[in-house]
Amino acid sequence: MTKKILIEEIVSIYNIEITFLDSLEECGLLSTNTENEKKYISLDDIPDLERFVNWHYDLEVNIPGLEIINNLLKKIESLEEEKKLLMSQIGY
Amino acid sequence: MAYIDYYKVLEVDKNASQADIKKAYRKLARKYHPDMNPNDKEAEKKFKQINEANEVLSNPEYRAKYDKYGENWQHGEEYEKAQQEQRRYQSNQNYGTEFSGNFGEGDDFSDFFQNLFGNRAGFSNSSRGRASGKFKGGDIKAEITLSLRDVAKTHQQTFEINGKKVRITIPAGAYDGQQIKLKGYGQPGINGGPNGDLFITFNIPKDNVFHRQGDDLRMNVDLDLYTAVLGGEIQIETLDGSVKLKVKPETQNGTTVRLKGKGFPKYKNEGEYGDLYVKFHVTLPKNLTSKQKELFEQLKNS
Repeated sequence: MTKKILIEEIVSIYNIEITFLDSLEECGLLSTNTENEKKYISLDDIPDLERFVNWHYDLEVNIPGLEIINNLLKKIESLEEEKKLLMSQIGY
Repeated sequence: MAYIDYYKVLEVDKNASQADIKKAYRKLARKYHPDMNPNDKEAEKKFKQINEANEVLSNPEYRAKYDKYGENWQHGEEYEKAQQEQRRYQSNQNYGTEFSGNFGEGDDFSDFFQNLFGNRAGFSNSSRGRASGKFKGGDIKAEITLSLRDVAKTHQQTFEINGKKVRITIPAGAYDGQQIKLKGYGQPGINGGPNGDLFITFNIPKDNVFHRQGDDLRMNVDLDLYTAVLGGEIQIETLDGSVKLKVKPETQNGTTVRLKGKGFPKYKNEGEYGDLYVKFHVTLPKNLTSKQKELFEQLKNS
């Protein structure tokens, strides 16, 4: 079973607003599970969440901006992988 | 150790207000943030410099000290004390010989900063941002250098990172630049948070004999003129021992032959191999005797 953490704990640890987490969930950047009417986040999703917190609070990127950056970074990642593979094939 | 012009780093002038500094820092941080520049060591370096500059200039106490002693840091009141701290700090920097690029907190600050302000455990709000290191432990990035011959066979390697022994299996066919993730082997979590992860990048320098192209290998083999003309058999060293190779008569210089299945193991496809391409480089005899020259003359006129 994947370990999880209460949304309220996340809010207090990172000193963020719960509305920020709601917005992330709304646009599909964060998924939560509800058990006994309490919302949890999987610990596996913490690295992504930390990134979004940093981008939003440190770099002042708004929610649509987070979505765009996230998509572009995923694209860069797959291009990088493709580049590595092609480079190894041509023996660079 | 060089003086660092923090105003220049943040691209602001010496009279910049706190608001100007904050604005300049945010703008540069957006540009050079490691998340926005994956695998870009230059951007990472720049980001650290920006953070350091911000750490000093956004703190009125630090800024005043920097303005007073900055260029003449050696006369600073903190200098002696900081020197001692610095020595202690350096003695803690002890990494394994095969590793480079441990991006823990230790190397966040320049020598200049440490001499002026003493050693700090890390940026007040962490170099990576406010969220990092509050719950999940930080990730560690490391590089391991392996020879092409090392990765021709699946093998295990043990190394020590942050006092913890880590044993990893490196599968045959691993490639240069490949990154593997070891979950939970990074910095310990805080307040019950999960540990960070360890990312290991394989650095595989070029081999002197074998040139790798995907799963295939290429090699050059010298062939003496007589065997090239008359044909014969030569012995070549492949990755898994020496093999006999037949040479056809009248083999031209630059001819390439393929040895099926003698190439590199295919990654995560045990028992499957690429091919080995052998390119012949015909060498001409030197220091001919007069008798031999005569024989070549005969050949020429035949």
